[in-house]
Amino acid sequence: MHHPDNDKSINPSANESIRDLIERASRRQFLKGSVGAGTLSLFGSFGLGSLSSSAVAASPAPVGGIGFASLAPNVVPMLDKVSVPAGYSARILSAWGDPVSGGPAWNANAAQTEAEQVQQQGMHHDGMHFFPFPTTGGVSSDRGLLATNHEYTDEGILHKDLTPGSTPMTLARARTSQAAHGVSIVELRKVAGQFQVVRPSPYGRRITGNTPTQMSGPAAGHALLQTAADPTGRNPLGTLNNCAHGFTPWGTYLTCEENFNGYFGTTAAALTATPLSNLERRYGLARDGFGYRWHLADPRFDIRVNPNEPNRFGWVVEIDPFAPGSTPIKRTALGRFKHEGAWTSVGADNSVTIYLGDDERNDYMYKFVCAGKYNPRNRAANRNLLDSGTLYVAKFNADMSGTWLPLVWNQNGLTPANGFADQGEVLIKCRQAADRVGATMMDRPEWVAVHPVTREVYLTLTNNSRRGSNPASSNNANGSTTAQGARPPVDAANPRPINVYGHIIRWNESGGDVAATTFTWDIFVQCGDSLSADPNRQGNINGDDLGAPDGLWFDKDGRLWIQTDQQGDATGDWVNIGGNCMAAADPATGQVTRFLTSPPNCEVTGVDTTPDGKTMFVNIQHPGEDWAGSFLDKSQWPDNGLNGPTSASASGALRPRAATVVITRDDGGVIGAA
Amino acid sequence: MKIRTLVAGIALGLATLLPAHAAVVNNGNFGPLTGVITFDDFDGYVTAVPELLPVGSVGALNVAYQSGFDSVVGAFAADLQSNGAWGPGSPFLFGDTSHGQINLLSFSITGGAARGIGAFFNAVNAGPILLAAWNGNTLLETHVFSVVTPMTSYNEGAFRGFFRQAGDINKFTVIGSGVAMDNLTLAPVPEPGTYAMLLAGLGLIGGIVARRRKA
Repeated sequence: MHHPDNDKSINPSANESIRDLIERASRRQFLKGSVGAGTLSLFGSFGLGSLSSSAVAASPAPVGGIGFASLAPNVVPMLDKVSVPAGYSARILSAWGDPVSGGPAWNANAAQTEAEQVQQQGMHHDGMHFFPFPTTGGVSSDRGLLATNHEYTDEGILHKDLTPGSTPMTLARARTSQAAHGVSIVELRKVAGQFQVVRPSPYGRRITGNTPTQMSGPAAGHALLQTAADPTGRNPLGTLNNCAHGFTPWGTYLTCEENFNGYFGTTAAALTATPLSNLERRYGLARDGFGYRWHLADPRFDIRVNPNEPNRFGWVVEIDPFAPGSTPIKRTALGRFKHEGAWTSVGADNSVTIYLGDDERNDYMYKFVCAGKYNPRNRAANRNLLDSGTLYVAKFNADMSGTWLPLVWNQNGLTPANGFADQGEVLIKCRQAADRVGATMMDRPEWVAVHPVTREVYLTLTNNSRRGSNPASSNNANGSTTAQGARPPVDAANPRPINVYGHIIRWNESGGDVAATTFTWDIFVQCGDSLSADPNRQGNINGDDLGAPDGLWFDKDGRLWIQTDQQGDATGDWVNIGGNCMAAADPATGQVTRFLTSPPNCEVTGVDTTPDGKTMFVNIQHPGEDWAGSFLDKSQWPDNGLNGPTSASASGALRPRAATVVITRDDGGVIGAA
Repeated sequence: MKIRTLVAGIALGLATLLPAHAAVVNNGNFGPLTGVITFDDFDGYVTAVPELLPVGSVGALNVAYQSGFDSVVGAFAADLQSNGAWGPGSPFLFGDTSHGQINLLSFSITGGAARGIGAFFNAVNAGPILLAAWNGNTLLETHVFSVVTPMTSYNEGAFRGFFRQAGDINKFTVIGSGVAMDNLTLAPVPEPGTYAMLLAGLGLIGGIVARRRKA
C-alpha cells in the first residue's frame, strides 16, 4: 500500500436570456405508472432506461447550446495531460505546494515541513468555488478569491523517504500531513489576459487539520463533542477530508468533511478492552483507519484516548473567504455524516435549502431547510441562517414520488428510548437517525447541481458494488450496521445491481418550493459503456460514454457539467471509456458531450467559471495514484509541462501533484457555448 | 454617457453656479471635534432601492445614508480594477454608477449642521470623484478629484473633504464610478468654549488618519 487507503476504501471500482427560455419551457409531465411496485425484482427490473425515458425534462436546453466538438476518450496508451477540444486551451494555474500568498516556493526535491505546508496549497484538490470581487455594475470576472478543498494526502509523495506503513510515524510527519489537508484560499487576478495567483495577498489563507474552529447550532457543546482538550465541546481543531463543497448567496464557502474516520485508530489491546460501539461502527471507525497512523504520534486521533474526537468531524464548515481572520464554523444543524458537499437552493420567497449527500455505499441523501429566509440586502442577517432549521432525509418511492423525512428529536422514533436524548444527539448520530426513519439507501450520493432557474435538482450516484448482491440486507433500524455493511436489493431509484458505472437522478420539489417535504423524481441517465456485451453495463447515455459520475455543476447558462472519478487507467471496465473526464450535458435532451480528458490515475473534480463564463477552473486530483515503486510510474503531470509551465517544470524534478487548470476559449467566448 | 464623462459634465455645470470654494482638505487635517463613522457595524448591507439607512452619529449629529443602486454599506471587498482593491479589513461603503444614477452616495445630517465633512476615497480606474456639500437643496460647493493607486494595492485611498467657515452642511453627496469610501468624518459646529481645543485636536486627528492609511 503506497498511501492511506482513503478514497479507495469506499470507491472500489441567472441571466435574463435563460429566464426567457424557461418561460417557454413546459414543465415536466411524469408518465405515472410506467414503473410500479409490481415490477420490482432483485435484478435489473428498473434498469436501462425504463425510468429515464419516461419523463420530459423540466429544465431547458442551455443558452448558447453546447458548441464544441466531442473530444476523444483518453484510452491506452494514455496521454499524460489535460486535453480539451480544438479552440480551447488548458494551462496550469497552481498546484500542491505552491504558496497561497507570500510563503515559500514549492521544492520538488525536499519534503514539505509543516511550517512550509501551512503556507502552501494543500494536497489533492477537490471542490472549489470562485468568489468574484464586487465591482462596478456587479461582480468582477478579472479578480476574485478561489477557495479549494484538499481532500486527503498521498503519504508516500507528501513525505520524503517515507514508506507508508513501515516508516515510523512522528508527530512532525503527522503535523505535515494534517497541514496538507483542509482548504486553500488564494486571490486571483487577470494580468495581461491570464489569471494568476496574487502573491502576496492579504486574502491568501490556509485552513488545515489544526486550524481552530467553532461549533454552532443545536449540537454545539453537546457532551458527545466534549474532550479533555476542549471541555466546552465548542472549539474543535481543524477540518479534514474536505471533499466537495458549497457556497452561500451571502458569500461564504462551505467545506464538507467526508471520510474523517480514516484518520483515527487505536491499538488492538484498547479495542479488546473497549470494543467499537454501534456509533463508531456506523461511521466506519476502526483500529487502523485508512493507514495514516497519526494516532501513533498524535493522541488526538486515538479513539480510545479521545473517544469523542471523531464526533467533532463529519460536519459542514462555513468559511468567510473575504474575512481572512475569521474562524471557520462547523454548522451542526446540517448533521454529521460523510458529507460530500453542501449545495444551496434559494426559493422564490428566499427560503434556503442545502442539499447534502452522504458519500458511502448505501447511505443517504439529505436536505436542510433553514428556519429563516435569505436577506439579499443585509449580509449580516444571514450569518447564522445555517444554525436553525430542519434536517430531512430522502425517501425515493417506486411511483417516482419522494418524501423528505424530518430528523427531529422525539418524532418518528428519534426518542430517548431509541438512543436520541436530544436534537444534538440526533445530529451527531445522523446516520443512525436516518436508519430509524426508513430513508432510501442510495448508490453513494455525490455532488448535487441545482438548475440556475428551474431549481431542478440533479444528483450523481457514482457506483455501488454492494447493491443487489446476495444475501440481501438493509441498514438496521437500530443503527447497528457497520458502515457500508449492508447489501440492499435494487430499487426504483437505484435500479442496477453491482452498479459499476453509476447514474444521475434528478427531482423537482413539489410546487417549486425548495422547502417542500415531497418531490417527484426520475433518472436523468444511467452511465455505462455502450460497447459492453453486458446489457446491465451498457447504460443509456445519449452521446459520449462515461462512468462513475461524481462532480456535477450547472453553469450560468444551464449546461450540466459532469466530472468522473473512476480508477482512471483506462483498463478493465474502462478500456472504451478511457480515463476520467468532464462532459457537458443538455438537461433537456440528455445529450452528453465529452469536453476534457485527464492524465492517468487521477480524478477530475471541482469546477467553476468566472461570472462571465469565459474562464473555467477545473481541479485534477491525485494524478498517478496507485503507483508502485516510483511515484512517477503512472503520471508525471503537471510538472511534465504538457499543460504549460509550472513552478517545477523547468527544474526537471517531478512529483505528480494535484493542480488547478485554467481553461479558456481561444476566441474569448463562453466556455462550452456555440 | 460614460461615467467619467458624466461626472466631469456635472462638475463643470455645478462649478459655474457656485460661490468661491472654502478650504478643501486633502490630507486629513480636518480639525478637532471631528467624529468618524467607520461602517464597521454593517456587514454587507446591500441597498438595491432608495432607502434611508442610519449609519452613525457624531456628537449631536445623526448621519443617514440615502442609498443608491447597488451600493453596499459594510462592503467586504471591492475591485477597483487598475486602481487596486479595497478590503480586507474594516468594512466600508462601496457603490457604482452602472445604472447612470447621480447622487450615488448621499448622506443627510440631522440634529444640526456640520462645518466639515469628508472621507477616505478611491474609485475604479482612478475615475473622477465628485464631492458636493449641500444645505437643503442649496449646493454649497463641489470638488472633483481622482485617486491613483497601484493595481496591486489594497485599501489605499485618499482623504478628501470640505471645511467651511460656516457650519451649514446638512447633506453630502458623492458621484463616481465604483467609489469605495470609508471613515466618513464630520466636524460639527463647535460650541464657543471649545474653540480653544482646536489646535490640540489637530495632532490627534492626524494620528487617526495615519493609522487608517496603514490599514
